[in-house]
Amino acid sequence: MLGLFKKYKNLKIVLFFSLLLVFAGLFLNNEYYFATASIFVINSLLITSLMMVIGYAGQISLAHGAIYGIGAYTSAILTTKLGAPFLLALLASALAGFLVSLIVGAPSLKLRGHYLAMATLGVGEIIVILFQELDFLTGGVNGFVGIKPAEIFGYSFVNLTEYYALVSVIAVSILAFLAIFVDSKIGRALRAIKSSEIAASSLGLNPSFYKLMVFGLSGAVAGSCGSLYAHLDRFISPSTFSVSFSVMMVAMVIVGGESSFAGSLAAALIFSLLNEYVRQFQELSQFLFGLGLFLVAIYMKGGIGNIGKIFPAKLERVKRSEAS
Amino acid sequence: MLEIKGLNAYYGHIKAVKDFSLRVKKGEIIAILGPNGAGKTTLIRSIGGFSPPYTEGEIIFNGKNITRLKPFERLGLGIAVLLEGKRVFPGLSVADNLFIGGYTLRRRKKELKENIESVLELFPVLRERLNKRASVLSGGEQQMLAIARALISSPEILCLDEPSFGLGPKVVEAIFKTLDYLRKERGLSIVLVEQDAALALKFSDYSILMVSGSKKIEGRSKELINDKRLLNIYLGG
Amino acid sequence: MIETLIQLLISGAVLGSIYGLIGVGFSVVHTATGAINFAQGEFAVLGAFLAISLTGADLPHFFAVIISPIVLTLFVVLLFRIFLTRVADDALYLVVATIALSLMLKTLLLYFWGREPIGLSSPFQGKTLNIAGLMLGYDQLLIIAGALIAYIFLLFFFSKHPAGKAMKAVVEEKEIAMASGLNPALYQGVAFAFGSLLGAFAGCLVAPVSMLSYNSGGLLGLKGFASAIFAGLDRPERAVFGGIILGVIESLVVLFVPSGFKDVVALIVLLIVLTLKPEGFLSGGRKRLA
Repeated sequence: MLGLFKKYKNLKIVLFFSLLLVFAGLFLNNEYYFATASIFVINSLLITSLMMVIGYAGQISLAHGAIYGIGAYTSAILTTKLGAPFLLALLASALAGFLVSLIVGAPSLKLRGHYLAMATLGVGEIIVILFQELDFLTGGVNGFVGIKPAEIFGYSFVNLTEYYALVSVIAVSILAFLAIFVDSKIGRALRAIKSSEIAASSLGLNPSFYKLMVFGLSGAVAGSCGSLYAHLDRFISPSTFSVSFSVMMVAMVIVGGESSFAGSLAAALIFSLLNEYVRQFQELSQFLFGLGLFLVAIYMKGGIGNIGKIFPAKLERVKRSEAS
Repeated sequence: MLEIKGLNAYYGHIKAVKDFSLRVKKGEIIAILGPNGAGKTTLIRSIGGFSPPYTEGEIIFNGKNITRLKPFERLGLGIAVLLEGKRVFPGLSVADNLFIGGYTLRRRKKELKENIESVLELFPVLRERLNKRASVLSGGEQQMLAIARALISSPEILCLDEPSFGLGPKVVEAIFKTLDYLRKERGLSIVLVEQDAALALKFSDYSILMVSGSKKIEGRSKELINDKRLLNIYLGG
Repeated sequence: MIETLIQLLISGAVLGSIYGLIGVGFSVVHTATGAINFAQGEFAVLGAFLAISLTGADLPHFFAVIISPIVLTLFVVLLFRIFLTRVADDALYLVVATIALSLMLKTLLLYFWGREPIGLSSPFQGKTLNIAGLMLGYDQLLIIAGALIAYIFLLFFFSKHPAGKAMKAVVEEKEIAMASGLNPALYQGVAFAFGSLLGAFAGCLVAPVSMLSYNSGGLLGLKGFASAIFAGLDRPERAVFGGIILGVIESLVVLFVPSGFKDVVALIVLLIVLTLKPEGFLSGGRKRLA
């Protein structure tokens, strides 16, 4: 057991996160807070999934919010319009997220850096426009109303406390899977590719395959998040999945440290607390994360999560000049 | 005029130039020789103020410490540097290339015009190509344009990295003769990095052989021409 | 039918001129820094909103439309001088910084100007020119004129003006330019300021014709970028034509698909250009500069 934690060091963070969720569950005493806490759990997972794309595949995606939306609408339509069971809808959302994310990721095979960012931004915007315009399916700009509560083998999760528990269990399982994934053989291959695509190809690794795999995996997770979100509020509208939210998520990932589990989870926590604290102007968190991203980009290339790595570099420089 | 004291230059952890010192006098041509990876290009980049490398030590020019000055602050003092491989602005016309070379003089119209006129006399072939885009010039013409551009601001010292690279022997001969003329007539000092040791020794006053970042052999070029050690390093490694 | 078609072409060209102006801003910044300014759309909206507030304070329309872009440009110059110049050499971090900037600007726009779309009331409101039965608003004419002036100015700037030549030199060979005494950060800053000036100006021109809200910047920016990349990011002045072509396509498409999908057209054009010919369709086959 301990060996497992040693080998997959991010599992410790996931364990800590799940303890936090248990404690939160014990202390919260009001349905409203459970709704907020559930959103926090969903956001944590969502941001971690984007972190995979940025930190492990070294790509940028400004369509992550749209993929989250794809999951939400898929689940809403399947359960409410077609009467599909929740678990099936959850899987379908993951699949839909997976497929759309492959489309979003496809340009990454050809485009780099900011060209890719623009392409994904375009795809994200198109998807949101489709949410607005295909109103016979999605309810258009007014949103999709009256989504059925999640139901598993006949048990309906109307109670938000119970739904919080369900969301937490699903989210922690997926997070644990991701934590193992990044330190598996595949994860190591990804790191090799990120540090040098050419060197990795010469080792027989196919960068395109691995990049798309991360996009797909991340999309599947985001799709699942969408499904969980749709059955929480039981109302969804296009503006939730806007490009601004996608940009915001990128900010959260980079501020948290682009390949740090702890950083992504912390960013999600700060985001939720801020939104809770300043209820009348929720966009304040958008401003603060924007500011954070700005400062990180300019003064701290590599994110707060990389702060530990900044110090050794400085020490080395001092040593070197002393030596000469 | 130019003095380098105890220069160390790094690329990350790799020390490319080790404790290098050099004095250049007015009107002197100094050749830096050495095999690939000896640190010659790094030395020229350091004189120009380009990063990388990250440098330690001092570079003094006419009594002023210029070690921490940015590349674009050095030209105005009289240091012109031609970097390896990059010679011209390919999308600009020959005239505009020359204009950029004299950009710091753009407010002194008369001086700029005179200087352009004088470099065109040095390289008459450029006059015929003034309105052509620099990218269509031959390699030799591009190298002449590069030197011409560097001369417009009337520098006191010109540093060149491999001016003969990829050019035919006749063109190289012509370029070196022009450099020799500039030194004699205008007192221009020249620091020259050159692969072709025979050529460099023929035209320079003083030569330094660098091996893996340090000075190995130095001396008057006339004396070094017959130095067996030089031959050994070039042939035997 | 023919008249409707021509009317559509004209309104397409008008909107397209706006995209083009915004697009020129993208290209100028990209030319000088190799980066894309993700806050360009927000600059356009900010320019428009500032002008709206200035006219709201009883200042004359023309004054507002000229002052607002200038104020914004000064703000950008300061921003560049204090912060962005540190990352001007590193396109990726510069891009991230502008993404951050767009987030912050959007929040500020919302905080100061509210959630509802607003427009700029110009003295030409409702005044139209009737040419052979075709109606052309003065405000629309101004937009087209603005785009053409920008085109001519840029053409002149890059081929004749010393600063334009220097900017080109910095882009082509940064190190030789430095060895020639040019400070790249200066030209990058100028490009950045100039790009935002054009964006803000475009915002002021479009505000009388179509209402803007705090989050209009995203789509405006994307369409501007689509124009720029369609024309080729290395040819700033041609982005004007890229924009006009895009605007015309967009307004003609309305004949075939529901108008709600109009915006998708520009985005699809963007994706097609990005995947098939990222160097652009109007760049004349020259390799990109930066």
